[in-house]
Amino acid sequence: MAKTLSIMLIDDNPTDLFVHERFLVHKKISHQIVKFISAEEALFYLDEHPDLIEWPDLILLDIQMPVMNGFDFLQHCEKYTQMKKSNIIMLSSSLDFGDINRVKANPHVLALMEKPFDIDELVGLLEINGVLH
Amino acid sequence: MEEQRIRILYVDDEENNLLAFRAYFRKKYEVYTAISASEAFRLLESIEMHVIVSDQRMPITSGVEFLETTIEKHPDTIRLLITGQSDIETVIEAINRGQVSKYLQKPWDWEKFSLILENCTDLYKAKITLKEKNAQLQKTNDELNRFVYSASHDLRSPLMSVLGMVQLAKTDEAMDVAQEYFEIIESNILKLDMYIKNIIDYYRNSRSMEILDNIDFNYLANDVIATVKDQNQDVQIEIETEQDEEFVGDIFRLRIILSNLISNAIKYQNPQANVHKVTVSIKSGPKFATISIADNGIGILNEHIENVFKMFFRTYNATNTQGTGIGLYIVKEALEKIGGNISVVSTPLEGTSFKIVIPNKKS
Repeated sequence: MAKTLSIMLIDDNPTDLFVHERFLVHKKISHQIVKFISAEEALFYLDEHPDLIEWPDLILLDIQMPVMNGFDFLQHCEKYTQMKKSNIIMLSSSLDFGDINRVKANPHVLALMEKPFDIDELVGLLEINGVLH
Repeated sequence: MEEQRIRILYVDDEENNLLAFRAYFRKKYEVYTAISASEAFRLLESIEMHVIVSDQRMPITSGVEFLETTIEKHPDTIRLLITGQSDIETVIEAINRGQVSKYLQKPWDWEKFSLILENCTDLYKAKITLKEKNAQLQKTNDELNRFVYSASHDLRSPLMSVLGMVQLAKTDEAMDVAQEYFEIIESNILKLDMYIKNIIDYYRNSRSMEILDNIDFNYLANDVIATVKDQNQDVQIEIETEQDEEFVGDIFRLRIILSNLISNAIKYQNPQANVHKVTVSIKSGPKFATISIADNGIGILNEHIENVFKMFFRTYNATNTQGTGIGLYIVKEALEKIGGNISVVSTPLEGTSFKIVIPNKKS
């Protein structure tokens, strides 16, 4: 596995942020991880760094968050042209039928994964889609 | 609570009748009178009437015509028609067009009139009570819907965080000594989660209408098996599907039914058996689909077989697997919703076979 990724984690649950980060570190698939406790903070970060040299290769995005949820975040992200090269995986602890369909309909989202996410499943998914070689 | 006075509007083109009516009923009711339909409309614009009494024979607008026009804006109001002649046509028209609940013939006897007005009042009160009860029920339903959403997310979300934490800890070499503890914690979290999921499934099943879809049984069975097979990796699962034509059914409920039955077949295996087998066979025809799920597991004792579909029924068994006691109950409930049925044959220590029949809703 030669390539490593720049990863952005967005989740309102600090335990999940911690667990996800540790799993990613454990698998050694990242060289940079940025974590945000809300979608607003993540957007603020992206706004503050318009010339971000390293736009995240992968965004793990929680769906159910207060105020701005995962889908709202995606809507706000449409203005960033760099977003096209980011791979987005949405996460949820409850696989809601409506959410599954919304994810399928969204061209930017690679997959919807159930929490707690299975790191091997994630790695497999990234390999199949050519994000990791 | 102070009882609200009943407001009655009486419409008649004869002034004397209006006066007599007012004199007779003014103590009992809040009485309003109008000499014509147009005057009645003016009153109705500002005052919500509970009962409207109208004479049939009036110039310009007849009683039925007038009462008919009040239906849309005053749906809860009780309408009463008075006619001179007992003309069946008028009565039929009054009931069908004017939504008239009561009918009085001229010349009237005051006591009878009074009794009919009491009936009207009762009708009105019953209508309002029903409306209030409906609104309350609607509110309770909405709250329950919100509760289920919150249970499926807010209750499960922290649980899944703990599960993630445990799984992370299991990968940490420094935690080697505690592996066994983590296994126990993990299995308990999964059990609690299964319980929450079951309750949500039960509730969703009891609430929602059938949503029909085209069913590919082979795909569905494989998909369900993929989600439940982790519970016991040693089990060999065989699927036989025969489906030549379209089957239309409720995929959400079919998934609940299959995943509960297959999951049970996988969980309740006989530890003494050399091979652990589960066979899922599906025959889908133009009218029905017949699905059987058979295992060579621990089986069900004869005295328990009557009870397995009851809510919270559980037994002690050799596998030390404890169910939530809700799975088969949900299966039965879901089958009832889609018009299917289930039967079970079991021999202790040899195995259990569940057979379900579900109607094809193609037509």
